[in-house]
Amino acid sequence: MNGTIEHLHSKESSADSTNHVSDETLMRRYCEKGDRVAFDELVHRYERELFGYLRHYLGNAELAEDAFQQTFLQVHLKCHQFDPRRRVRPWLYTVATNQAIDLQRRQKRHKMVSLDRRTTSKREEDVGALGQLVDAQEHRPEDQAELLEQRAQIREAVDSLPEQARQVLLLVYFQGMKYREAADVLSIPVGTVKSRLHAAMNKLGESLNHTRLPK
Amino acid sequence: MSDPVQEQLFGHLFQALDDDEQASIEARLNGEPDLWQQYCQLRRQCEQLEFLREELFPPDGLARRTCQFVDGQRRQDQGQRPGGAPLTSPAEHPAMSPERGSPSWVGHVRWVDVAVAVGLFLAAMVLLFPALQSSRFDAHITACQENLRQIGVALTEYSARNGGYFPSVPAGGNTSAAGIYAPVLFDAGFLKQAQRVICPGSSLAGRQCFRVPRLGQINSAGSDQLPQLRQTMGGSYGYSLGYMHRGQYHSARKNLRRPLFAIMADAPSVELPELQSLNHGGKGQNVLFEDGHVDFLLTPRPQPINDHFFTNDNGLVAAGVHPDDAVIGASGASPVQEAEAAWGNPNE
Repeated sequence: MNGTIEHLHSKESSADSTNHVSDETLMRRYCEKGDRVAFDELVHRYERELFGYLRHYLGNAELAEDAFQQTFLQVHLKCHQFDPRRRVRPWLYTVATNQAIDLQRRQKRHKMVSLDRRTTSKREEDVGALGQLVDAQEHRPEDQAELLEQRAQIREAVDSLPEQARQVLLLVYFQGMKYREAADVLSIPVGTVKSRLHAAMNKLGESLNHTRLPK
Repeated sequence: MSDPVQEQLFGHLFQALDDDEQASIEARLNGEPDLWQQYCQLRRQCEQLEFLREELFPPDGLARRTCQFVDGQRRQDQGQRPGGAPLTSPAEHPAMSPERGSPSWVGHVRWVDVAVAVGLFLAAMVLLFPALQSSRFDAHITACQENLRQIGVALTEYSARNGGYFPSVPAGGNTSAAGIYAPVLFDAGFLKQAQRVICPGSSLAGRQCFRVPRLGQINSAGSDQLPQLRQTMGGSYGYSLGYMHRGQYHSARKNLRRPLFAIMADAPSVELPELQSLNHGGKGQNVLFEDGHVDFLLTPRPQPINDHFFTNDNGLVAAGVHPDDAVIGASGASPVQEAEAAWGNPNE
């Protein structure tokens, strides 16, 4: 069968491929040898994940893109400060979080903006969301309006959380980190992560009790 | 105010606990109905946040622009700063050429150097870009083959301990979807890394928060969660559905180590003709055969086999119509079409 089936590929992998290489090895290669391929691989590897995080954190696609670029600039500038005993992922999140905070300060934003605010106008956003709902289910217009309003209230409740609680919520709930990993990113004890998340959920619970979504 | 129990419950809901904590709270949940009730209440509360959890995709070319941005910074920093990573190829920086004469001559040469460098760069891009693309494509296929091989080992071990049978895909119930192979293998300890079920060429690649759900989570999932769980639990791979024999559905296939019988593959896509997988740009799919070997096939109906392994002999994505009819369904595919229709629409 092997002789007749169309083969595009053999079992052997190219020795210099970076695909199997761990983040830590890539970082070491870049720090020690300035291996740009390793650096670029790290950027591509974390493109979706870190952008998603920053986008949630900053609530704005343009700011998230700036923060993403600044994050990797810091990786370039400070890679020699990276502790090789640490994992790269939490370190990247730490750098990204700091960049997001700096960016917010520079933008003179004292209050975090919406978790999910689009770069499109509010009107476009509502029309888009409404359109999706119409496609998805044949709700009555009044139900759709109610759904949008309730979701807006939930967003507002999340946005109004204290920053520290919201950071933990983003890392654990949105980024799927373990308590231990979030503690590493924020350089705080695991117990503090747990209590902040608990406090965040309790606070949200109070709001959500008044904003039940229709099925 | 701290409440350790609730903290553990939230941790379990968000899969944020370490393994020992997870096992501990699960044991309590099994034995304490009041705690289970509290857990269900918290889960309902969290479900209201689910719509905020959508993945936010980066703008096109963000990684490329970022690399260019940092590269520009590197060039600026050259000669000014000892920090940062050293560069492996200083020859790429014509502006850094040593020993030039008068300032005016230096300026002139720099302009020429820049023009030459740009020309060389463009020529290199023209020559290298297809090769780089091809290299990346090849690397994804190789890494994907390794994933399937490892899953093949796990499936063989599973069959050795289960009377020679691979994980079954029941005809009904919460677990009646092809992707159930992954929770079964993870729960039984035959697979340990969630990334193993992600093809590096697929849209799920790079999603480091991806986790394979536990069987208990699938069994207890409500109709609002279940469709999503079923669609994703198998990662980016498809798995063999059962088959019909003498009017009865057989949910588990026996491991007969047949070299031409496909049991797993890159997940089929309804968006492409012949259900060709999207994992490798629609150019083909890796296929794991019962004897454990993996091949990259350009078509889901390879000539010597002449069995379309993404549909049964009736042309449907459903159970095989006889024991030798291989059908590999994507994670959410059900062996019984009626069941598939019922679960297929998340809004139902």
